[in-house]
Amino acid sequence: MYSLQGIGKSFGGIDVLTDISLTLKPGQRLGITGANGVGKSTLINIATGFLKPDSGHIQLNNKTLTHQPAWAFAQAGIQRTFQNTRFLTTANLGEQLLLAARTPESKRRLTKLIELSGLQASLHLFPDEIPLPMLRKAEVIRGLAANPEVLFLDEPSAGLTTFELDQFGVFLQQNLGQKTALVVVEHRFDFMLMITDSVVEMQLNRGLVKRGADVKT
Amino acid sequence: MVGNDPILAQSQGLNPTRYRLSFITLSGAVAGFGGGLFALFNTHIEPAMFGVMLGIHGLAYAVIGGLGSAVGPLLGVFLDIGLLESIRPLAAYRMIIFGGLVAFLLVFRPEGIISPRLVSRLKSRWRNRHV
Repeated sequence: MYSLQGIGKSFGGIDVLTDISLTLKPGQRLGITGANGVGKSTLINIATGFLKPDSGHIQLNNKTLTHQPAWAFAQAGIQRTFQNTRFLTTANLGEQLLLAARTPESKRRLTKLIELSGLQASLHLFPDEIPLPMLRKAEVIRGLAANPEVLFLDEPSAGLTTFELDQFGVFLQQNLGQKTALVVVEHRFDFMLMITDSVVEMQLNRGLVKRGADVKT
Repeated sequence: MVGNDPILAQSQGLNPTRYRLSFITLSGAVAGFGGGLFALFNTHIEPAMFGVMLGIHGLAYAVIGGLGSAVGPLLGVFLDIGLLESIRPLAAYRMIIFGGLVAFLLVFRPEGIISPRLVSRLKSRWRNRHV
């Protein structure tokens, strides 16, 4: 169980987030949408420990993470992807994925995921030699190798065609564990409806508003 | 990873501050040990022995050889000192050659002769040598 309670954050006197609360059960799939600039990325950064909230609490399985550094969030089982995929330029993909898997168990999971994803042929290449759809998959694999409690995806659709996004969604659905809760921040509703079981909209100064089946795709 | 992208390192549960501190401490210790030996060897040291050029050459080793592996700076020292000492007859002109070498490498091989990428390529070739 992962929860954000009463999260508030302001940048230079401008309130970006006020009193945001969110609870995730294991295996839950949540989509977050919203206009540009309402603080979706800020929320992800706070939820994964890269920014510290001005107020509120973050808890994972009754452990308080609020003031912990980002690497402690990752160790506790909170993984994320980045809006623009994030890889080193100095090592090939295979080496980088291996760096992310530090236990024998996650190495096994990683090997299996690589096989399922069809990335084997690209492992010896450097990230700038690999097409974006593959990198997106690789980034998800990197996150899933640790069998995380929560996985945050920051706009996975950016730069993908509808077809590529579809494949990405199928891959995600097939390989998310029972345990892992998923949060997707996205603008693409077709994609969200495919992989999430509920969608909330973030509105300026009003926090998260539930969206039902009335959403227009 | 800690050096090139601390944010990525954190997202994978590594504490960049800890690693940076320990590596700086470690390299400082090595340098300090070298300095101690140097002082003993010369029996005396004075500020004039540590001019600007010493520092420049120290950086040049890394620029020429390339960071990302231990072999890089070694190759850098070999090339830099080897080249400069072998053209001693040219007297003051050898610094032009030294500067030219550094500039040439900065333009055409900014990561040094043994770049991290080369190291990675060689490693994976070595691993697959039986395939």
